[in-house]
Amino acid sequence: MRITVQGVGVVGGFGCGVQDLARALGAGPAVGEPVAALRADPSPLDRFVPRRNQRRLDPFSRMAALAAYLALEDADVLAEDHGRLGVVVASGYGATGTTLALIDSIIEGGDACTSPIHFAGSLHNAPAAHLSILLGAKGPSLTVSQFELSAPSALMAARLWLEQGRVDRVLVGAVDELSGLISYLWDRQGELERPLGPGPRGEGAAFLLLSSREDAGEPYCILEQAVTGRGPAPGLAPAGLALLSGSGEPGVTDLPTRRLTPVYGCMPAAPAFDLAAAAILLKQGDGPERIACLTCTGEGEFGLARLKGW
Amino acid sequence: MTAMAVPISGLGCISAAGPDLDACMASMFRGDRAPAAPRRFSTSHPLCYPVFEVPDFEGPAGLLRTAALLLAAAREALADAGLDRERLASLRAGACIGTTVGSAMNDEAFCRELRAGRSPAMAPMDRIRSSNPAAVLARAFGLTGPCQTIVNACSSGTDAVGLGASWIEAGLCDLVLAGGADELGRITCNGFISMRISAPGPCRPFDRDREGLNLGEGAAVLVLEAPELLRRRRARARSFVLGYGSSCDAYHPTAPSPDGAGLDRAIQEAMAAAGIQASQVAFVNAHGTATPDNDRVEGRVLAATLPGVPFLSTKGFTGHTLGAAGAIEAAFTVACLEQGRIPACAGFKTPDPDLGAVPVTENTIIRGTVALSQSLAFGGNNAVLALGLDSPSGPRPDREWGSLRGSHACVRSERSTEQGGPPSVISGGRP
Repeated sequence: MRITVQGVGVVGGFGCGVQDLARALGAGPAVGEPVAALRADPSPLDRFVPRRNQRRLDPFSRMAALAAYLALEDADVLAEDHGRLGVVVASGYGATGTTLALIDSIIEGGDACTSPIHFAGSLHNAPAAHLSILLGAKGPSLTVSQFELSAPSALMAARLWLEQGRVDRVLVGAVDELSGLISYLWDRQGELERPLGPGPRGEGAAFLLLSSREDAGEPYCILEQAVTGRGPAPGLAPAGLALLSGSGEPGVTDLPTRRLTPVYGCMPAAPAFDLAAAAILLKQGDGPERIACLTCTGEGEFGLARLKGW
Repeated sequence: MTAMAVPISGLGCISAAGPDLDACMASMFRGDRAPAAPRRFSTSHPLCYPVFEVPDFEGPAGLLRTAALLLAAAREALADAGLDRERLASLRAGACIGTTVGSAMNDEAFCRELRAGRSPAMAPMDRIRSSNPAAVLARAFGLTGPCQTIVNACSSGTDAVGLGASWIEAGLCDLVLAGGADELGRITCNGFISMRISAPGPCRPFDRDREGLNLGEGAAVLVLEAPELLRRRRARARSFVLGYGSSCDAYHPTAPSPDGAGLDRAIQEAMAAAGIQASQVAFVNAHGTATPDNDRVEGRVLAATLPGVPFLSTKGFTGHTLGAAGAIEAAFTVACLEQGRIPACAGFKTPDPDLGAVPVTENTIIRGTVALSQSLAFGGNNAVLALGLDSPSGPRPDREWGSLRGSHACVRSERSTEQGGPPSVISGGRP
């Protein structure tokens, strides 16, 4: 079975959509003063969802929804019926802004004033729930949280669903936000047992629309491999370029490598942006035929995806 | 979709009903249950909302209680399967674990300090970052395969078992530690009370006068193995994951769709994967939280889709253990199939005419080799496992009667059997 990337949707510090990311990839990181934080603006969601229907969506869910809509639009399937669409969402930390707001409601008003809205929004699977409701997606829905390996883990699940024939399209992506809580962790990361990364700190969402349908239109690329594990990562060959993310070192590789986190920021969702970047680079067609996206954690875990040009 | 038959070679469980699976089963069949005010934290609500706390349990200081509960269940499951760390290290073994609290960055004391403009120490954040449930198992047992923590709210445990089984089916692993874990906490308790779905007394699943859920805590782990590995090490399967189905209501962030269509799709998918008909289902271990909405939808779907099939909720014994619930209930389901009986649905007293279905009211003998265990969740998730004693290729060698294909589920009350009279058939499922 051939699994293809039909659409890409991204929002981050570089902007919104494939063109903004492609431009940023071409330009490389900004020259001059180091960027303190790469923040995402989810307001273009208004183009897809009326504001009154966004009432229950916090910024975390809005970022995820925007990237998901962009991926569907990019694949030209936005108007289709999504009744059999699968949804897989990854997040390293979840909706930490809403979690803080939930605890604020308890601190300010006491236990009896706990906010039910914030409680529901603080659950990791809130973005997946909102997405399914907005899109009418009634296929399987999954949210995973594995810190830096969240996105590779989500990709593995999405691929499996397609291979099993449970669905023929999956919207898979990752989202993380730079809330007050996460900003504080960045400020004090020297005191953490395991630092968050080299920076710059970032936030945003990146989604891919994967399909197993033979009648799908011309795709970005083919998803050849998606694995996670612990120990030495499998060989990257026959890829011609490796995009690296994560706080760990990949070990020796004889491939050309790039770390793109200066473009969209350092965050657990970064591997999903690598996948989006790889898809864009492969579609541009002036680089290698295959790109590997490798995430290594400081604890010896890895996530590997290999994409091949169409 | 291809038929699934993934062997389960070990089970481990810890909950308020008992410190291990055998103890849980024994206490449920005795009818023990003791929801009480939380002992490890307090709230300022005028009413006491009882919970099911695991007593006399302390984990290491550097881990969340969720992770410690999970480790306890995993050790029991691995011992049951006859596996140790050394053997696991030689296998392609993974971990697929469901949770809710175990992944939340919600240390209340830390956040209070932060909000007050002080500079809280990082230890609570380190503890959370060190306690990702699946990663904890991978570290503790030297697992080298895929590692996934599922945060699908209250269906997480069921999804974890189903997805773990699919890893085996796909050849991604030789073995998966699949399950769920969650701990009780102040923020979670406050959250459910704020949504007005916590009961001020012991929960009453499927009862006409149900007032809501009682929260609980615990963990369960199922050792899922590739059939080839099981044969190679001459081990036995306690049972099999025969099917898994899941769907999303796409209806409301926290309420189930009133038409139950999503749950029905998940049931149909699980039964199709298992290659079984409704008439072969011996019983259903229902989600049965005792909230008005959940039990109404679930009861109606069971009445329509699996009419006459006996069902129960075990949350009257354990409370609602959130991300652990599906795994704990899967372990209970297997143990019930092995024992050929199910406990009474604790807390149920008065039938609800709005449901069209009534759970078992006493410990009940069941006949049949396959059962369903199902979970519903915030976000509209529905997840269903089909679990069976026999694989489609034939009955388990140590069982004398019945085989999956062609067996008819029927039940009788345990009391009538003990009294020596003819067994009174309560239900034969759908013909």
